[in-house]
Amino acid sequence: MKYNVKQLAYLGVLSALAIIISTVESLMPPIFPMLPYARLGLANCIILFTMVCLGAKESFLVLLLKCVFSAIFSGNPTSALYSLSGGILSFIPMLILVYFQKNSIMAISCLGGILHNLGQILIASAITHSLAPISLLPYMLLLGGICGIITGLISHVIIKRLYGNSDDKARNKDFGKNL
Amino acid sequence: MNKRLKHYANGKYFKVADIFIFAILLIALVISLVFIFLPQKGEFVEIYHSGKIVKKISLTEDTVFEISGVTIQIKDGEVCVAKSSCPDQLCVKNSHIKKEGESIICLPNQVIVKISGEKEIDGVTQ
Repeated sequence: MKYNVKQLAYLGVLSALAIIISTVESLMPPIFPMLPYARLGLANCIILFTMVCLGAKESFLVLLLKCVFSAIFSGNPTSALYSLSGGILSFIPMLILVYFQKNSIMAISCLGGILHNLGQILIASAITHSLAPISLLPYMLLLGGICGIITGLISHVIIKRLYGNSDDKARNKDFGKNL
Repeated sequence: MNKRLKHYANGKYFKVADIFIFAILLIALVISLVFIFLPQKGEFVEIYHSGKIVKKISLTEDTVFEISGVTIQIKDGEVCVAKSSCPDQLCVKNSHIKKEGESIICLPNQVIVKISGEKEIDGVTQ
């Protein structure tokens, strides 16, 4: 896997963005008291963006870096496990849908959000050896879907502003893979 | 790669195939809603530590119980966590629970307080 300097720089910036967004998000207090660890998932925006613009390997790299480092920086290393499980469970279907190009980005992000929360609850159930977290499932799924739609909208708008309008030559730059 | 980017950059916000995704969301919601509206008033409070049950108390007695840094208080048919030694204190801020199946979880201390409604033989201690 050989990358030139420009591609590495892009990957670095994307990873840093994802880590920062995820860390700041996890420092905010929970909105619902019965749902701790329910976050906005804005870092999914970056992951989706990387999937669309760069590809599978790059977005997986950004996902890994985001999960590991945001857990370290937010002071709660065990949250890496929850983050990673949710992230990986949502990553593969999102990747498949992005490659098939049949759905809109908002719907892909919605599905990603739902699966992320589902993965987190499953891991919480497995770690505490009980079915108690499953009672939080409906709220988490609903919130995950809604936040996924919002994140998808943000992602779509960013991609459209950056790379839409193929008549405009100045903005027609390739993202870095084919440079 | 370029084609995919252009496809999404110039694509619509909603597409026809999105119906499937939203249908999945709806089905998942409906299935999980069943779990909220089924439970009835709870009978016993089960306290788990690291996955093993530690104590099973009836919801009717007013008691205070402490395990692994978490102080659990049962009063007026409701359970709440009065004090906890965990850094995030999310279990303390959690609302009181009284319905069967509801639970308060303290992940750092690995304590789960659950309400169950089954009439069993007395639970296991230690």
